[in-house]
Amino acid sequence: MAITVAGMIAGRRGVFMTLMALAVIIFLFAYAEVLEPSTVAQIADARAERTRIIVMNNYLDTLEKHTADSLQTAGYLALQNLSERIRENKTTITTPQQLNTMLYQCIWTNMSLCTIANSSSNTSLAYAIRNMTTLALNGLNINSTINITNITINDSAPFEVMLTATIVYNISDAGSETGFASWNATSTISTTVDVQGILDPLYMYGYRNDTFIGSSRTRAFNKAPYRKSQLNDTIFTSSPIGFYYSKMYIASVSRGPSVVQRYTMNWTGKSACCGIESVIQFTELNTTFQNNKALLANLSLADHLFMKRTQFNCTNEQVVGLKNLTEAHQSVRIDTYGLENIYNYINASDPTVYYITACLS
Amino acid sequence: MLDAFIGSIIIIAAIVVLYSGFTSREQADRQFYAAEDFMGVMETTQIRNYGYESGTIKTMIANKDIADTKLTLLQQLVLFYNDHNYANATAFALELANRTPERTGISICITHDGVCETPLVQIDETYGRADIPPASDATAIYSSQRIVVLRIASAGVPSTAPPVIVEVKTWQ
Repeated sequence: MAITVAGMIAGRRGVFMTLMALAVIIFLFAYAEVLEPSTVAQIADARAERTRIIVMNNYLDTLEKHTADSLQTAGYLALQNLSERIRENKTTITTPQQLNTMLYQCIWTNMSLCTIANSSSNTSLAYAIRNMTTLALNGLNINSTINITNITINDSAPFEVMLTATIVYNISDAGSETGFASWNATSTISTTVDVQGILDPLYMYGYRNDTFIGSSRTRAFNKAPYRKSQLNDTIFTSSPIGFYYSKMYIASVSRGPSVVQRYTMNWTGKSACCGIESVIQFTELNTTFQNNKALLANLSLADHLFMKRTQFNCTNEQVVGLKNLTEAHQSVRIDTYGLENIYNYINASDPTVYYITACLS
Repeated sequence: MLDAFIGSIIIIAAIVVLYSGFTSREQADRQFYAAEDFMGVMETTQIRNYGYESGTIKTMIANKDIADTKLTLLQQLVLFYNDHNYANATAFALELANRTPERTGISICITHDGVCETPLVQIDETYGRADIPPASDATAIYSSQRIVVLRIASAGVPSTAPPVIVEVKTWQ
C-alpha cells in the first residue's frame, strides 16, 4: 500500500486532534484541581476547620452576651451591697472614680467586700464565667481564659446605670496540638442595670449620720407608675399625700440627683440626663400650694431638704404644703421621727390638720 | 473522522467525570451544612413565625405550655429542658426534627455538663425513615453545637440559667 502525502497529513491531523483532546482534558482536571482542594484529606481538613471556626465564633458570641447578662446581675448585687455598706457606715464614697474602684472590687477582684446583701457565690460574675468556660472545654473542646481589668459605672437614664467592663480573653481550640483557631483580644462589654429595689444611698448616708433618726428611714428606688405630667391632673388632685407616702420616685431632668450622684454624696446634684426625685417638685403643686411656688422653685423636698438637715436651720419657717396630712395618713408614713423633728411637723390649732414646714437657707 | 469522534468522546467523558465529582461534592457540602442550617433555623425563628397551624406546638400554645411565642425555637426547647419538662422538650424537638428531609437522619441532644449521652430525639430507620441507618452505623455524621444561656424572668435581681449545650447531628 502506497503512502500518499494526503494520507500522511490526514493521519497526523488525527494524532493532532487526539493530542488536543488530551490537552483539553488535562487543562480541565488542572483547573478543577486549582479551583478546590481535590484530595479527600484536604476537603475533610477544610470542613473540620470550618466547623471549628463556626463553633468557636458562636461560642464567643454567646460568651460575650452571657458575660454582659452576668455583669448585670453582679452589678445589681454590688450596688445593693454598697448601699448596705453605706448604711452600716463601712463605706464612704465621694467620687465617681472611687465608686468605679469599689464596684470593680465587689464584682471581680474582692467579692468578699460585698457579701452583706442577698448575694451568693453562684450569682457572681466569676462563677458565671467559670460555668461557661468549663462547659466549653468539656463539651466543645475550647480553651478559654477570661479576665476583667476594669469596670466603670455611668448614668444612662433615670433609674438606670450603665456598667462597662473591659474584658481580656484568650480563646483557643483544644482539639489539636496547634489548634484551628485562636482569639486573643480585648473588648468592652456594656450592660444597663435597673436600680429599682436597691436602697437609695442618699438616704443611707443620711440615716448613717443622723443616728438619732429612727430605723424606719430607708427607702428603695421605686419608680412611680405614671409620668410627671400626669401628677397634677390625677395623682395630686386626688391624693397628694398618697404619693408622698408611697415612697415612689419620678424622673426629674435637671432637678434631682442621678443614681451615681447619690452614691457619691452629691446632695445637690441636678443631673441633666438622669435626675430622679422622691417627692415631686412643689412647683408642681402650685394649684394647691400657690403661696409657696416661688419659694420652692427648683428644689426637691426629699432630695435637698429631707436629706440635708442643715437647710432647715432657718429663722423664718414657712409652711410649704401637704396641709391635708391627716391622722389617717400617719399610719402609712415612712418616718415619724423625721416628720416631727426635721420637717417641723406642726399640730396647730386644729389637731386633725397637720402641716409640714420647711425653709430654704 | 474516527479520531475526531474518539477525541470528542474523551472530552465529553472527562466533563461528565468532573461534573459528577462537583455534584457529589456539592451534595456532601449540603449534607455538611444541614446540621448547621437546622440549628440556624432553630436559633433565629420565633415560635410565632413557625408554621404551627396544627400539631404539637399549636397544642402546647393552647395548653399554655408555651407562654411566650416571641421566644425562638431554640430558646423554648432549652426552657423546657431547664424546667425539667423533658416530655415537652422531647415532643417539641420531635416536631422540629420531623420537618427535615426524609433522606436525612437527625438527632437533637441537650447537655448541661458537655457530655451528650442520650439524645432527646433521634430520627432514623427505627423511626420510620427507610434507608436511614442509626447514627452509630452512619459513615459520616455532621454536627452543629451551641451553648445556650437563658435569662430568668423574675422581679428583682436579674439572673441567668446555667448554660447548656445543644447539639444537632445529621447523617445519611
